[in-house]
Amino acid sequence: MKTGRLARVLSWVGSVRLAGWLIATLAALTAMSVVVPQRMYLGESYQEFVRQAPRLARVLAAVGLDRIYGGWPIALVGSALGLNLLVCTARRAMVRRTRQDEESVPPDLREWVSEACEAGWSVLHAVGSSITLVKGRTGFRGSVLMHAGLIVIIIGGVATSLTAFRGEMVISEGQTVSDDPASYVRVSVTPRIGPAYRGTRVTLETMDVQYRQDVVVSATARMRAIEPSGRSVEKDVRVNHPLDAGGKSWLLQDSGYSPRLVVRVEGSQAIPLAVALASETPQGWKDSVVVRTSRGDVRLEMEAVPYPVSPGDSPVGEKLRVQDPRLRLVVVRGSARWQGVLAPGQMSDPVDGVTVVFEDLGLWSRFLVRGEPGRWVTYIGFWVVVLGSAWRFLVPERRVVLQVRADGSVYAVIRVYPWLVRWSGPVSAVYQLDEYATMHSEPRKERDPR
Amino acid sequence: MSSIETWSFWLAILMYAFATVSAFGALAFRGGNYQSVALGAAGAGLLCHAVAIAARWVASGHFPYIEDYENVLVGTFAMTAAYVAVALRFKGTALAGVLVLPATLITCGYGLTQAGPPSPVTPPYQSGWLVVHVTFAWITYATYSTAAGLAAIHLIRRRWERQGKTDRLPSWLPPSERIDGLLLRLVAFGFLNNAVMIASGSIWAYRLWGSYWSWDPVETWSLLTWLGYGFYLHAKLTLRWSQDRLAWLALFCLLGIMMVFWGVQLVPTSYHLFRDIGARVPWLSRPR
Repeated sequence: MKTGRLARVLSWVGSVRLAGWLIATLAALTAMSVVVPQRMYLGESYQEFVRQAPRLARVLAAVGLDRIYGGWPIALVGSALGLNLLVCTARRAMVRRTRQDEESVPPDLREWVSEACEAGWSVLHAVGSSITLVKGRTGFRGSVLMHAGLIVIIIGGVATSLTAFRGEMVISEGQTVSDDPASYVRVSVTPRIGPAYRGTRVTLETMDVQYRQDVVVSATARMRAIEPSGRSVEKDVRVNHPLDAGGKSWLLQDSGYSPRLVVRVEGSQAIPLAVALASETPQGWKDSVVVRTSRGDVRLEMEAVPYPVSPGDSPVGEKLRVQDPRLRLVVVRGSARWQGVLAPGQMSDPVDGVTVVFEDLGLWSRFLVRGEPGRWVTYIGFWVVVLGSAWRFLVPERRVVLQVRADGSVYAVIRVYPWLVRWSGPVSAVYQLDEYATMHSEPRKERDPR
Repeated sequence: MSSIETWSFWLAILMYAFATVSAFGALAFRGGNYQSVALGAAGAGLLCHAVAIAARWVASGHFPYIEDYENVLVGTFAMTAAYVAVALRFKGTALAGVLVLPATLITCGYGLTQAGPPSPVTPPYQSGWLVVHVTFAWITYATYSTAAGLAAIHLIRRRWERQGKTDRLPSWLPPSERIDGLLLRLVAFGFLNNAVMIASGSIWAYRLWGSYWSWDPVETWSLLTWLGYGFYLHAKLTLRWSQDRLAWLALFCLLGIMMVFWGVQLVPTSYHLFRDIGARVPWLSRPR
């Protein structure tokens, strides 16, 4: 009794009807996202909506409708679909496919069956004076494989959520950084399983940017990585072509200027710096930093340009092609101040015993650092789904019910799955079964029977 | 746009408009000749369209697959080509043009509003996976829209039958079973291509954005549409839904496809808003 109830529950949980309702719910949710303002995608407009309709915004936030994409409503429906899929696939995979031997075949059809078996058919059922032959049963496995692929994708998704790492690094030309917390500008996701940092040393050797019609057409970072195991990886990293080393991927995101400076404190210190300038200007990049020296703090205000150009000039088109750079520099220590424009190799005047040498101008690059070992599982799942779908549709399952009539003639009912092609009529030879069961084909002229 | 490209694209649009009118003529007057005219005009439009694509290719130095206009240019070509191929192969199905051709025209109109001068391929587009992704997306879009056109034929036929005008049904109109069988094969073909589109897109996304699945609106709609067509197959093969319900489902699922391709414009920020990618320095890989 209990087994029967469990079977009914499992049948319902793995049913196509339930899947249909879940997909409809998913459709309703995503359709809702078109009219309900989405926090993640509207930015300032969403804040404006919150200001204008605070109560409605609170209600939407409370039920999670302000974050439909990737939020709990879709996660809930998606999980239910995953469960539905799991149960459905398990039930499909466990279906026992029985096959009867040729002994149970009615005597009138034995010769037919013998010939059909030679042509690749096999006996599925034999009841009374009729038999069911089948061909291409492996097509069913394609369907199981496709559903199993979907489960593999879900497993990959879960593995990704447990093992993913997401951070950002800014590396200047010539700089070497290590995969440890201090090297990251920001770390937003750390793995719940496995180490977050592996100590891989990454060097950005050079950065080359090419333009066409004032548009970046190529940005190549020559990079080298040494993994803790000692394995060395060298690669010309581009957008779409990340550096893969130490279980992580370094994805090139964007670039800016990084002047190399030496802050000299008279008679005591020489501090080398490579400053990644943060703010973009029409002519280049600028930033302001404070350097701690033995003579106290020194503030440096910098604006770097790719060639001699004044702030009032028209915007520079090919900013990332540094040709004859200049650094507009303001050095401030206490009340003392120096301001000027430096070419590579030049230095500022002393400001209370501190001078700044502008050595050269390079580029910094920002890298998104991702570790997603689970993605390989998901990729495999994707391609299993594709393979399974192709298999299902390319290997049709053909079933023929043969019956001997009173006059001794043989009548056939042919069905082809998954295309639901059906044909019925008298047949006189085995080769006709293949012909009638092949999609699109019309029966050829009658040949001599057997 | 070069003058050859402009003229040939406009000529193609003119032909498609003529084909649309002819398809509606076939619907209104139930004349088989209107169908042939629609098919002929669509075929002539395809030739002009091919010239426009070639002109764009020559002018930009790369196959047109970036930005909205180029996507429209090639996407609508694929739509019309699929429609013409099916109509030529299966007699009487040119009436599907009552849905496919207006959809093509509207899409072309949208593309024209986005047209700009040809530009070089920026770094985010320099990926073999993107080419695979986009190619299968076009095939998917074209297949599903033709399937929706066939669903429209089926519903038109059923409506005529319900009106008790069975004797006045045009002789060229294919029987429901034939349309249904063809619809099933087209959906299955589209479903398979859709799977490859999602798989290749996810690989490209990881290499570009560092995440193979971001629950981005386009990704979510794409998954939903794929599930929708998957349900169509199950509804047909497992639940044995009636042909009418299946035809409505095919039409409804097309809305999802339209959302995937064009509805993203409703979302102010999305990874898939390709019009911004690479347009600004220094954001090489990510739209602002």
